Amino acid sequence: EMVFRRFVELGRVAVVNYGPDAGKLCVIVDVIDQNRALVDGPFRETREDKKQGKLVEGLGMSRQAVNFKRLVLTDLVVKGVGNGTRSGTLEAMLHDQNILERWNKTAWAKKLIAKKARAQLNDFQRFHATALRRQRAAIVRRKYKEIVAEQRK
Amino acid sequence: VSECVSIRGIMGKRAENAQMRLYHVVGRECPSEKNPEPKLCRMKIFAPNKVVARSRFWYFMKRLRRVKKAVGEIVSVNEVFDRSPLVAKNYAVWVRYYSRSGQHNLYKEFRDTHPTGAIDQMYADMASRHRADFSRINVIKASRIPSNLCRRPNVKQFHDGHIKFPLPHRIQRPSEKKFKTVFKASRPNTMF
Repeated sequence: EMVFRRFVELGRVAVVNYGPDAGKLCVIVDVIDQNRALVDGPFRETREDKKQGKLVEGLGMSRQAVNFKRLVLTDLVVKGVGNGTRSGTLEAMLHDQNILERWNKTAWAKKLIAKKARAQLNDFQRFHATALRRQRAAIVRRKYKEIVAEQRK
Repeated sequence: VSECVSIRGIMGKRAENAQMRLYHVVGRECPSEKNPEPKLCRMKIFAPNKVVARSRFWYFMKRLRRVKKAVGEIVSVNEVFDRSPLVAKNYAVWVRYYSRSGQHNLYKEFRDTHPTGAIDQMYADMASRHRADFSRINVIKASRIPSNLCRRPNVKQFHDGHIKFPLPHRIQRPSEKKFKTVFKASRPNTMF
């Protein structure tokens, strides 16, 4: 069993967690030095794939050098990325390997979305959330009391 | 220079903390009766701005060509950019610097995407290792070198098509400076 499970490698998908691109996914396309990776989204957020007739999503990050301190590595790796891989090829790889779909299924991604949603609630929605939480707590407490009462018998 | 394009760069984000820019400064001695058509000299100067670039141009012209600013003229100053700013490259820098007791030559290698980034690294490196600042350093030459000509092991270790390493013992950072606090409720997690 390896102590480390996530490695900096060509094709590793990472989340940017600091700076103007915070929250975006990117793929490590090359390692510049000990502190920096060359990273690519690719940039195009969405475009229409004429062959497949649907919207293809990119990751919204242009190719650039990013410090590892600004990246958090995920479990996903895009297979087949070499250090000369171009943005177009990378986009195709992302599409073929369903990286965005696989990412969106992870608990991490869901938590990020929930965090964003929670930050954008208005006062009434926050009150509504609290009311629902109170209702849930009441149901749980009621059930707990039933179980305790039964165990006492 | 085949590596650089002038005037209009190719798209690529300049690093936020980048300080140096690369200029081609072309100048010559003023035409005189003795020398009606003086030779044009072009220097590649790394400087934070055009003003410093022009100043450094005369600094070197005086030493290398015995032409002072008073008897010379600068024909053009152009910022030049790398042709492939989105490719990780190896840069070799030949430096002449003045230490407290004499002058020395150095050869250093850096990995960067842009020659100015490599020079930024060089100045930082020289300041930390030799306590030499901008005024004590002359860049003799800075050029991109292919991987097989690199000599320094700390640069050569990145010449690996299947490079793979973990990020051990990471430090949590707030996503924005405003979220930084002196005290935290929980101990840090360094594995992420």
